[in-house]
Amino acid sequence: MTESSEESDATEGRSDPRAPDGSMDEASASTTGDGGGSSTAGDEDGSSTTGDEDGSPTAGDAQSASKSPSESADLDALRRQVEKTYDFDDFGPQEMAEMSLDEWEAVFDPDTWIVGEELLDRVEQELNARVAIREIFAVVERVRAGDDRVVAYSDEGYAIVHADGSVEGEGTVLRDVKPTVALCSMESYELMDAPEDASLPDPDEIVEGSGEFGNLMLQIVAAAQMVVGLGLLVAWIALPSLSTIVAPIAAIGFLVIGFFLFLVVANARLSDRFRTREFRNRLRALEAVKDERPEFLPDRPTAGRAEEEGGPSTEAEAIDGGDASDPAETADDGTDSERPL
Amino acid sequence: MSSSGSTYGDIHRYEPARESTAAAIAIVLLTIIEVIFVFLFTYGLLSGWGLTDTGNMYLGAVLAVIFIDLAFILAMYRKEFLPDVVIVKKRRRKWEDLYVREEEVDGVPFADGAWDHVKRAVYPYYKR
Repeated sequence: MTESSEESDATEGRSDPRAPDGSMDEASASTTGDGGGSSTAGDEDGSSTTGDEDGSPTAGDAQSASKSPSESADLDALRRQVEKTYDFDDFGPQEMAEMSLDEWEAVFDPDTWIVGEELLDRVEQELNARVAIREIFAVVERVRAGDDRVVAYSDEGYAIVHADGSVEGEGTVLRDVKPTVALCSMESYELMDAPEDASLPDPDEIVEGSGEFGNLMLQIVAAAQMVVGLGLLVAWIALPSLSTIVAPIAAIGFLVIGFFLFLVVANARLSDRFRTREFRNRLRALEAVKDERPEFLPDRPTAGRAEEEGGPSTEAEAIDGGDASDPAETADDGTDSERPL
Repeated sequence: MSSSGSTYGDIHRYEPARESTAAAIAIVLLTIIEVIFVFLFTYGLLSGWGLTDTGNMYLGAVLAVIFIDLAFILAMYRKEFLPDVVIVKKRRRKWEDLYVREEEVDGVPFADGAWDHVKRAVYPYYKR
């Protein structure tokens, strides 16, 4: 846990300035909040998403070149001005909020981030690998019905990763998935290899974790200590020749150590039994969630689409989910759900 | 960063112990040594080895071996013979959660510029 939260902090710091354009449009629209900005956001959004889906690195340049030359000169001027105004070595959320949408568009190149289907492929592989090493406790599914997306869910929440890199969901799964998405959208990040069977184990396959062998060894040591301790104590009382104070002290020391070791073994056995039961229960709960197909997870393509439209407005748990085009919701908690972090 | 709902006590990961062969052999040897030395110490104490200079040092050394050996047994047991468990626990609030702002996580400079640093180092009561 600590690991993943640290990671999320690190990646958040790194990835804020250059988030994919789709989400950044929303972020800056929500922060600036002026009418003119949002209207440009509309058409810029449309053109840039097509560029992303082509996946060609020169898509943005080609678009700007196809516009009039004076416009590109304006863009250059704006870019120079923005670079002068902001210090990008020390660029945080505050500066991000200060920037207008036009400034943002001028400086940041959306192609520095992996988005679209490639991102989803990467996220899927990475999530599977992380589930395999049990860093994330969730079921990972790729949903190709409707819009392509990766869904990870457990009994404690869910996360949906969309092709534009935005993540929505709730609970611990969302918190664990966010840094993964941020990492996967970076070209320089090398994915982990997922094993063939990357899913969580079957509840009935869970065996009690500590074998009896280690416990046996510890019990032998403990028994030896106890025997010696008792022997010393008896000898000190019985033998008149043994009058040193060292004997009872050593005896008590040995007895304490032996008692402690027996306690360790007893605790290991008890807590093991308890923990395997809890873990089995949790895996069963996960299977139950899998079987009943929650509303964010379509079982059939058509039904899934309909459910997805209806879901967010009716369900209370979808407060930070919802459509990306809903400006009110974005403004409410844009930092939480809409950014690809 | 808090998560909604109560997830405390949830088991996030439960991997059975490795119990590798090397560890098993090691812990058996350590256990035998431990038992031998514990009895040796008791025998030595009862038969009065500690009354001579050399014998006293010898008994002390035996006791040291007992404790060091026990430490290794416990370390081995913990590492190789107990399952790998991750449990969700409550994160207690730390000082920095309450009193450090997000933009000041890396600290606040106490002076601006190199010369200012020199001045403040030389004279701590220099104007704030």
